[in-house]
Amino acid sequence: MTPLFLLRWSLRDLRDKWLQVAAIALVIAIGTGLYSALSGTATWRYESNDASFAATGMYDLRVRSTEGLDTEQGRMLAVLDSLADPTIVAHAEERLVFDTQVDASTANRSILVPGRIVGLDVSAGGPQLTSVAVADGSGRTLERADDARSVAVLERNFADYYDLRSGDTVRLGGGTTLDIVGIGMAPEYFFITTEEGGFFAQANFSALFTSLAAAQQIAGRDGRVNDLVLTLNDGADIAAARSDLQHAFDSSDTGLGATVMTRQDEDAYRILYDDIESDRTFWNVFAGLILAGAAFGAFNLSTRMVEAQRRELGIGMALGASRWQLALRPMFVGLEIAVAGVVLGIAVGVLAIELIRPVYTSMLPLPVWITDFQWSQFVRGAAIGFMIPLVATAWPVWRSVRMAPVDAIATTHRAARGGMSRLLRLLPWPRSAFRRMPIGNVLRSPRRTLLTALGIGAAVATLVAVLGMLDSFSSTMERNDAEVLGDHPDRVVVGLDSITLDDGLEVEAVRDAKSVGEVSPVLQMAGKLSGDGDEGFDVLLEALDFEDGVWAPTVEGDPSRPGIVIARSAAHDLGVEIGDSVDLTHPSRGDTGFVTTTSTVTVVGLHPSPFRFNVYLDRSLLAAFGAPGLTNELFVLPAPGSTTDEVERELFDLPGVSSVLPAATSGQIVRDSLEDFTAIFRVLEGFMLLLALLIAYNATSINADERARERATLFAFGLPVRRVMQLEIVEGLLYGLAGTVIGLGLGAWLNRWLMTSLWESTMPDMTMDIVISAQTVLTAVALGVIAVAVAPLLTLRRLRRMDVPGALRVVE
Amino acid sequence: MVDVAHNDLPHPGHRPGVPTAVRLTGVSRRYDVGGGAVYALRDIDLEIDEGEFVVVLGPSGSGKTTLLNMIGALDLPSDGTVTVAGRDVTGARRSELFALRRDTVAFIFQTFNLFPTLTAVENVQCAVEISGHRRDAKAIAEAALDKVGLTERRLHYPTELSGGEQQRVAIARALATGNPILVADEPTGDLDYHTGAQVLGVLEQLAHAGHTVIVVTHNREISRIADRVIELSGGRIVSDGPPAGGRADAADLRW
Repeated sequence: MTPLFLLRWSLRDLRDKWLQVAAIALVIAIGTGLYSALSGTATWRYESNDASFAATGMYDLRVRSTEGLDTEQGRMLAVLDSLADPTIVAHAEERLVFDTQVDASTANRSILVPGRIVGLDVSAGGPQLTSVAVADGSGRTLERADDARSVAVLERNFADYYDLRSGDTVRLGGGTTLDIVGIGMAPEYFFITTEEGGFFAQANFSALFTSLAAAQQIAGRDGRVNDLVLTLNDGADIAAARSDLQHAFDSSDTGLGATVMTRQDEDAYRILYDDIESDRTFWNVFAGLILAGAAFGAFNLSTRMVEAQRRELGIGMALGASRWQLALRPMFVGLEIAVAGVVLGIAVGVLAIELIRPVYTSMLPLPVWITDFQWSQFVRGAAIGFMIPLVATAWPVWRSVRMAPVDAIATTHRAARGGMSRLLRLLPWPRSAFRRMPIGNVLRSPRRTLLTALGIGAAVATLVAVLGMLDSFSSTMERNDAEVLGDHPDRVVVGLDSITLDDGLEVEAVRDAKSVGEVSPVLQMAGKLSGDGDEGFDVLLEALDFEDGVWAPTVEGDPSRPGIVIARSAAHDLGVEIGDSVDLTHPSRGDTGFVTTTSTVTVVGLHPSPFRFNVYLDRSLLAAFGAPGLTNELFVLPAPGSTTDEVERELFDLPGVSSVLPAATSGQIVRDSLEDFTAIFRVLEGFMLLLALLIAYNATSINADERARERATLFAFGLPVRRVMQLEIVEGLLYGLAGTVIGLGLGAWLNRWLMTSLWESTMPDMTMDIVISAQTVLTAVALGVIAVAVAPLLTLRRLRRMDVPGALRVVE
Repeated sequence: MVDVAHNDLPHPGHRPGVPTAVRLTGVSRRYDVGGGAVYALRDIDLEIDEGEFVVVLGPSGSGKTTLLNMIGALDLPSDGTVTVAGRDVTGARRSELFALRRDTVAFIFQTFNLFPTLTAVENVQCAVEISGHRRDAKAIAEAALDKVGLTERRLHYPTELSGGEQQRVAIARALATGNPILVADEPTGDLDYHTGAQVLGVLEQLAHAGHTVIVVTHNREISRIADRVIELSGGRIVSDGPPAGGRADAADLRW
């Protein structure tokens, strides 16, 4: 028997069992293909981020002025001359950046949001730094001819959310209108966050890019600038340059109170890169789980295919063939399955990429997306996928060639061992020997049963973890909504331009608005909470009326006592309880204005919001902050018969009002953004279903081959096909049940780990509920039990066509 | 299936007034192989009365197992008709063939074909339940095992039984169904002489008890246990009559 002969023989084996081989290869392909697709998304993001920031000229350094301050155009550029080495600057541009109110309402919908005008230097035909990329079909970017004209490019995340187009018009607070000439992306706004660091803020923040001259006209600050962006020549030391530039501005007479930032200080930049590694960990977990499931399934099935040839190996031994000759034929089969799996894996990987790509590009729109097939990831996954059937065939081959020939040749009645089927004796039910057969079959081969169950379990675990995450998101959002909306879902949050008295003119103007009912003043301040020497975290401190205000959080404790109310998650992170003390860094008003100070305060209550940055105190305690009676935010209820929309419209143009936003908006935004994210999970769900079905089908199919004689015996005793099929289905149910139990347990653990360890490192400010809904459990049961149980029906045709006499006789 | 009237055609060993258990008329079984045809059986005319103990004798490839498969409705003829217990199986529906095997014919295989995950009594009990006697299945199974002398081994799995014991379990299984026709395909093929003689003794007892027993073998000495030997060669009946060398009890056989 030459190797070539054995190779041809192995191909005949392959042809004989082509359906089983194809199923095993597809199992491997799903594992390796999905592994490469999912684990390759990190590389997509790095490359796409790099390319997008490069294409839009992201700055190396930015000089940002204190709110409300500006200087003469050209003065900021002049400061660069006082750098220790001015030649390190490659390019610099001045800008005017200021906040405003934006009315982008359409005929069907009110859209009134806080926004920002970014005035860019278009004198050279458009900004060279932090430019605005406009995709084909979305209008155009700014040109030299747009200088001083009332035109703008609208930021894309906002435009996409509200389906706004080039050609629309927006109105600013104060009455200015701008014609939108394009929908574009600028690097500082690739990802939109709120001031508090909340994500998915694209629906309640609108950036508009216009010429510097137009921005100056809108702001009434002709010839003024307050922002400078610059790039450095290759090789420049950014940290040193930052330090030097800060010193230069501190020493200058610009009076800007300037702060020098690097890219890492820009939220969009930092978040887009920081998110990648936690994303990678997240997807690697799923990719690994999928590959493990495929590995269990393929290992089990390949092993059984070889074990079915045990008798032929024994006959070969009896004929005097050497061990390597005996081993080569099944090893060739393993190799052929491995090659088929890897080749199919490319197709599955490409398909998975085609399905995942649009989800990513929609969820994280960037000017440049690089979504190439990641060969390095594929090779890694394929190496594992390639080894599985080889190891799976090597193991039983090794066992078989070491057997005594007589044992290898023996027919089943001599060679079969009972496995754990003796445990059947301990089962009082079912009493019928016939009905006990499926249980006996499951127990007779514990290793096979375990591997099959693990394969199904891995698929179910992935599904449970994925759907469990969605359940957890949903539960957390519902909890947040319940807390935020409370008894007044129509509450509106009105931001004021500056801090004022709670009986000041701006507040009275709001109270006097026709559509406004109740009004509660709130003072909102940025701060920091820490305890016991740890670094702490940023918070948003809100002083409101717990007793008579429009809204107050649900508190466990007594908010009327001197102290603060913090989130339960914050208390957990700081290791404190009600009555304990923490350090609160906060603004405090002194003789010369607001200064930052740190006070030790008592935790007097806990609230259930999932966001740990929400801290509350009663307005009666503002005196301790030097701010009695001050407010910069109002909680407003519509007057009877009025709607939130009417409130938004009426308050939009009031002087002193910087933003008007329904309280329900933030929760809706998060939900809308998560819908994109969940689309990837739907893709995974489909593949997991297919994987479990393939494993189940193949297990059933190989069962049918191995137990052909048993089935033929049942037929010989007159048992009809449907009754035999019922036995198969019950056996499938048992495998599915075992796999589902494993999958539910592993999936629940995985969900907990994802929601705690991984989520906490990605979004420490938001604590998620850990929930697996009844629907998720039912879906897992449907996949793991029902789908697997019906897999035997796929072999019904083969069962009906069985050559019973042939199956009954082993020898003539 | 169609009830076929009793036929008065005589055959060797026929006892007047005894109903016919099995009748083959003009039966051929043809396999189309590689452009040609191979006949496993050719123009077989055969009758077996109820209660007869018949051996079908022939060398390997003579068609004896194919004949057995016809009788057990595991296979259907290419030509001719097969009647079992008065029912024409040739044109029967699939469900009727299954019913025939449940109610009328019981098999005993050369390689025993016991279920490895069931004990001896459970193997027998399973067959009883299939045949419809669910309520008393265990009691019937134990009684059958007692008849073949395996009461003390009833809780053992097939791997814990000797070949002879396994074959006796298989016989008990066939017996417990209560089916009137027992067909045994080389029942001693895997067994040594003493064990084989034991098994044949059991079959002899069943025949004396009134069962129709049809045994297939290639061993001429074993064929002496029967009342009648039908010899096949090349798919045809070459002789049909009392055993050559005269009938002998199982204990007296020597092979």
